[in-house]
Amino acid sequence: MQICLLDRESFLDWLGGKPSPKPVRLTAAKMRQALENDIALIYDDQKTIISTQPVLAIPQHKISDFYAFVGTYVAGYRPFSAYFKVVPFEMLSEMMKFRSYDPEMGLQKECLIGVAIAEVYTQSRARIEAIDKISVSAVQATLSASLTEAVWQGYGSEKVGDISRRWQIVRELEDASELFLDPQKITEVWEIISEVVAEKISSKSRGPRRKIAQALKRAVLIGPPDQEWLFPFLKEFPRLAQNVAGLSRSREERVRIVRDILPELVDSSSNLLTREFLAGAIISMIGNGSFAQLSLLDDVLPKLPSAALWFGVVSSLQNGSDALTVGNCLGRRVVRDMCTSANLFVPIREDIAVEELRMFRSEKKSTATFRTVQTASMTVNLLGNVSGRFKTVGATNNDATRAKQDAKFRKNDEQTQELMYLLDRARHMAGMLSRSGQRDLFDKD
Amino acid sequence: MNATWWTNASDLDDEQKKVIALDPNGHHLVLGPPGSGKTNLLLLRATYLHRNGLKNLIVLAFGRVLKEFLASGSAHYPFDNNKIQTYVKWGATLLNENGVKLNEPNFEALRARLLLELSALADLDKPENQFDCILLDEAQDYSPDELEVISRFTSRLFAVGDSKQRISTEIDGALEAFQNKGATVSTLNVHYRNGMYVCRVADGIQNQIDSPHGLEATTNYDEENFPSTVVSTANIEIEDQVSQAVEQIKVQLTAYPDELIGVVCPRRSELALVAELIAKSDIADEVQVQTSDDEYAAFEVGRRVIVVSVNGAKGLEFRAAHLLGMDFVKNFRLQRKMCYTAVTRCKTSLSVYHHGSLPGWFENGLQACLPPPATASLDDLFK
Repeated sequence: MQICLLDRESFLDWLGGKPSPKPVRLTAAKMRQALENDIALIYDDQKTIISTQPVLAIPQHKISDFYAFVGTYVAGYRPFSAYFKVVPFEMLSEMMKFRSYDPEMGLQKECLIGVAIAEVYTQSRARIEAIDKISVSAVQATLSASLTEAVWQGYGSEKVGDISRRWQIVRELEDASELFLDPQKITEVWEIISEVVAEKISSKSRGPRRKIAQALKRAVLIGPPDQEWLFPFLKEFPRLAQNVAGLSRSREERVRIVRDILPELVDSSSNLLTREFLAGAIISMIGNGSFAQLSLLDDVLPKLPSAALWFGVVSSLQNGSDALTVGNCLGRRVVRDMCTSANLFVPIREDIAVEELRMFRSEKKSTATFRTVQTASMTVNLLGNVSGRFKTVGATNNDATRAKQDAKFRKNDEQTQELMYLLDRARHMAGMLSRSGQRDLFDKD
Repeated sequence: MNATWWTNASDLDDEQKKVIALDPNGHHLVLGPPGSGKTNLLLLRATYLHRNGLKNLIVLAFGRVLKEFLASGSAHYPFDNNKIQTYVKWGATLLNENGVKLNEPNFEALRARLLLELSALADLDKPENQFDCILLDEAQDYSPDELEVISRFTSRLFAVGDSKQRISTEIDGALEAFQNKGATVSTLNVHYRNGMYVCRVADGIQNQIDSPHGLEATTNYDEENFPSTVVSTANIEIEDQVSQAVEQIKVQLTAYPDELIGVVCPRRSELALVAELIAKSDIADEVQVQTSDDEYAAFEVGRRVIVVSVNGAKGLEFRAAHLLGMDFVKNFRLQRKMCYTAVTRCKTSLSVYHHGSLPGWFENGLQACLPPPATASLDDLFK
């Protein structure tokens, strides 16, 4: 990795095509120096990635100011973050860490997209009649889709929380409608997943959260969930304890058992997170992870809202998971466009970064004045290579404009109809006048 | 019904890959046990040939229920529904187009006349009567003469069959005759449909329990994912059999979403009664009755419980099957093959109901699913 430190003037020169000072090896001393500077260009010297463009590292406290600067003076690149990757300098070392995904783990990494499918299902309050009806963009627009990328890229629970906060900031800027499933609940699920996948279960994780993480870790390391997997939870749930052995019997038997256990989970006063986890887990175990069983959650979702997410998580631990192929390959199609690499030099694919978007949206007059690939949605870089997809303010405004136009068209239509009626009447009168007898009468006058 | 049963090409076994790679020209015969993928390979071949420009093709099913079932999945195929016909309907239409009308009083008479007339028509060797390809499912149910006459209407006959499932014709030997006429034979030895316990019942029927040639020895069924079960309920009247089956089916509709559940009877009289009783039950909205000889009834994809005779069930497969009134199977000459066909329709959860006794070989099959009984001691005999 090489670094080149610039002040704003030399930065503008560089943007204008002048060569930058020669990059030097990135050392601890250079990093300290960079924190005092405005801008650092970071070059990849590994030659592993196609992009030769440097990443711009800016001290965290100067990022807003930097976007204000480029938003004002660099009109040729608008929005700036659509063309240059800008990262907080303090996070550079975190982002440069090589993270690999252990293929020996029992978790089917790509199948985690099932959690995002389950999120769409939950947010619709289970009103979606079949997974075939869920669109690719609906899954892409979930918080879980962004956090799937975060987990794939190896971020730990702390960063997952940070990415979630950034996702929520964008959502509040673009679409303030309330969600059925609180983003905090979604984040909690993903923080536990990231603890299991990317790091040792952290010491701060206690109580039910730790118990769930340990159960997941066991399944990840040993193999698909079996009845032993649920042993740590049996003390609290006697009906589950009585029937747990049956969860490996025939599927009919599993359905009977789950129907027997669910009321206990719904009505118990035990910890909500545990009950949500268990409901999702045991329903997922009926069909060995098949999404065909997702609708069994319909009745419990009002009381155990994140159970569907746990269904998706436990599904990804099982051989029978169809998270990628269900709904006409919905999951696989979403996965295709997701970024699995944490490498900073991966080419940019987003419309804008979250910090720059905040600046744009703070100015009322300039809403939606930057280019996006889609007219009604945009892809926002949240952190590193993690992005989120959102409906744009413009789309919401467009809805209002369209409604106004519709009303105008309706009024015009009514007027046209009236005019046509009058013309028709006139034509009819004229036709009558053309009859010779009547015309004679007029002519005589 | 999916277009393919595999997700990745690597899911195909070597024998299936060989069938897929067969020459598009010439006559082919694919043999294999129930659940080896014969019908699916046949439909995929039809798809492939159609996409390859051979538009004048016809898929023939022997029974009407199978024909309707195949037609219900036509969304997965590039050709129209009307390219899937029963043998009788296809033959009668072809003859009608050539000025020959059939008005025989019953199915057997119609079948005999059809053979005669088709043979005479084939002798005329008119190019307009030739098909680019004919694909024949359940080929074992045709007589050797029928198979021979069908082959004269195309230079590409692709037939699939299994002689153990022959229940629609008394005359054996069609598959051998077709092979002797030069058809390339491919054999599928492994099957995927039937769970371990279902295989044991089928093997019992064939006197092949624990035989290396039995279904159990050649199954590649995913027992871990779908644990199989067999339950036999004896000494109850048909009305009670229906009540018990309905209770089971309610759970199975949840346990096996999007999959078919079969209610199968050997005799028409029980079938009619079962259909009537089930139509009054809680699951009536999920049920469709398919008989092989009634008037036309399109296969309704949304109704997952199929009430059907053993003959009508040929070619179908059910995740769970309820075989009702099985004691009446003893009234049929081809009873062993009927039982084998009925049992092998079931993938995972088999329930057998009877009031009177079952044939001994069927009892053996059911017995083979239970834990072995303790050896009786001399004292036990005097207890």
